[in-house]
Amino acid sequence: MTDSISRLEAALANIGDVDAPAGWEARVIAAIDAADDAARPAAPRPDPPRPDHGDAEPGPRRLLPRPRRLSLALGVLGAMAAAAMIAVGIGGRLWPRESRLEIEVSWQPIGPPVRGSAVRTGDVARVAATGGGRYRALWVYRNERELVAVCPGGMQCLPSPDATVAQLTLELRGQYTFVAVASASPVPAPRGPLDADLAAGNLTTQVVRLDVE
Amino acid sequence: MEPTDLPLPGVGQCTLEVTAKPDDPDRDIIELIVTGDQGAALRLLMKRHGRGVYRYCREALRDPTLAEDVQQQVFIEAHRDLLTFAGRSTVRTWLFAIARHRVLDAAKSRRRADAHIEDNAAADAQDPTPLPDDRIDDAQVSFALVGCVGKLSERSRTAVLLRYQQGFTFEEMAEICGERAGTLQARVMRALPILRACIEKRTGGRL
Repeated sequence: MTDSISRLEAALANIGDVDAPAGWEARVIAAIDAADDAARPAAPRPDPPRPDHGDAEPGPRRLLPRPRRLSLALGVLGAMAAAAMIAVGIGGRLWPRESRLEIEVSWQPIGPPVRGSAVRTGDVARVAATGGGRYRALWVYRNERELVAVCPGGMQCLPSPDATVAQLTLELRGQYTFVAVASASPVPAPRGPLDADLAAGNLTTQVVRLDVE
Repeated sequence: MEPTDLPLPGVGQCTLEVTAKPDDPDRDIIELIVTGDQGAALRLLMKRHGRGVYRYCREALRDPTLAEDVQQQVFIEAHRDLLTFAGRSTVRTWLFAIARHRVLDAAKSRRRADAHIEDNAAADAQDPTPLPDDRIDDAQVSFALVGCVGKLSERSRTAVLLRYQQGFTFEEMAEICGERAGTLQARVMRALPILRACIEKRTGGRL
């Protein structure tokens, strides 16, 4: 008993042992600068603006204005694409021709089988994407709105040398949509809902849906 | 540390009443605030506690993207409120109190209808299925634990993460959560066997 609790405590100490996404500090500073910039012209000159330490409303959910990030990203991507085209022209393909994007979903029932329900809450699903373009990702949604897993980078991702693999517990009822995404350029980060994420880039996709009861 | 008057860039002349506990490891951050270097204070705060806050947000919310947003909100708010930090707790405790509030706000906004395993704790614990002799390996424990922690109630999850993932004492947790230390300790002690039963049930092994 004590030993098992000790193991549990040790595992809890290491839970989610990951670094914050790269560049987050810069985004915080940029958001603060942007808020300062926005506040300055609005403030009447005679009284300098003072910080509000009272019941201030929380800031907007997006902390860095989209247009600036987008234009920067497009600029960088454009430069990378141009460089890649030149390199391909000179020395042939930069990477081997990719095979077809494929997705495979399996699940492990947790409880005893119940007639008439294939997948139940609590079952563990494993999804693997193989092939595709230069960049590949896995997105999992519940009811096409709630983003529940993203690979690579998410906590449900499993290491694999030749596939993008996620394993997750299907915790709630609903329809789960597993999407394998491939692209010749970096895949944009999904935020949900599914439609909006699929519209965000020139992506090749394979989709599998599971109804969880 | 005595209250002091210092001009802050972008703020104008204002009275600062920031103080730090004498034994606060982050006392140097407060000293930077007092000397007017709010930017350096923020950078140091992010360097020391950014990872911890992100880990907490990520496990509490079970959504890496949302956790990143909340982490940023926490430090933006901390940057704003450091000017009035009164030293009633350590900087880290104060920072995690902000994080806890923002996580609760984010979870509320998300309006996720979550099922809590505590409701079925007895059923989990009394599973008559005999367990195999093999003990679950560490990787299985870690994997199952993420799902099991996610199924705890919001309050239990917060208490467990603050206690074990972040290593706070129950007294510090009381400051963060605004509850009694004994209440939080009892909550954590109740959660542990539930987590163990959940892990064993999910893996079919013995912890």
